[in-house]
Amino acid sequence: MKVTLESSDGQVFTVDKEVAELSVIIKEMLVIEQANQDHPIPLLNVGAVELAKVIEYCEHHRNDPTIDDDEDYDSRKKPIEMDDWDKQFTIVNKEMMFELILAANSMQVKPLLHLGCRYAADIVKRMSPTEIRDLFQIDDDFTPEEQDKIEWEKQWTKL
Amino acid sequence: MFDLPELDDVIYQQLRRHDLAQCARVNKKWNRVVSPYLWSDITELGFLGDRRKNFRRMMIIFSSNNATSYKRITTPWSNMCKKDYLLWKSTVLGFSGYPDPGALQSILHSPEETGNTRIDPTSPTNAVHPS
Repeated sequence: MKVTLESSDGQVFTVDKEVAELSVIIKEMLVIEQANQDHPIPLLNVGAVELAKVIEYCEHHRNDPTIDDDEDYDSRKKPIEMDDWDKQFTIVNKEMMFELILAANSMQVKPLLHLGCRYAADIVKRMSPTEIRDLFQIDDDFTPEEQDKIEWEKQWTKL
Repeated sequence: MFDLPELDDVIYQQLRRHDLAQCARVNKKWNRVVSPYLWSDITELGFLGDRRKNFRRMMIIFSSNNATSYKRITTPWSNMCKKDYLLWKSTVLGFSGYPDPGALQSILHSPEETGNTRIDPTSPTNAVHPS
């Protein structure tokens, strides 16, 4: 069975139902609108470029075991693993990956969302506060007193 | 992405303490978000080493309502060495009391005490209170 998805900029994608159902949102919409499946499902927060990438990801992972419980994604208990395909998939520029994370969050494609979050965590790893500020264009708004406290805490992380 | 609270758990739980500390120094907002992850489990601090067990037990007692006096805290573990107690006191109270990490390091790196150094609650020199 096929499902039709429509991106925010009006592009239509036709995918297998089991592929589309990796998105929790689409899965729920399909249940609610069972009698109305001839119409495309509108994804108002996801552009065509991002939707194409999300579909590419879902196509590859269509046979993965579904995980509904958030507990299973607790990265402390179970680190987020990437296979070779996932590693290739994440070789995109930062802006694209951030857009993909937002798309995955909007569509609730949890495995992709967590893959993206791992990518985001990897970006800030080993970066200095200044480098993070520069990357995300954030201002340093600490007062001198707060700066002292932060410096003190920094010593503890070195122990 | 870093502005989506629902993603905080997934992102920050993958960072090591050093990286979390760097993130906490970005600005006020990042500090507020990251600090709970940075200090969520202070028993994970590497410097605790083999003192972790004693430290954890002291944490439990300290956080209980009965931990109102030095004597009550030390009585169940009269065989606990003073170094462990000072380490615990410095660390636990440090988050509000700003102890000197250098002083703590000197305690940690002082020569090992032989046997179990007992804390005598009646001794004025040991009369340190947990609050």
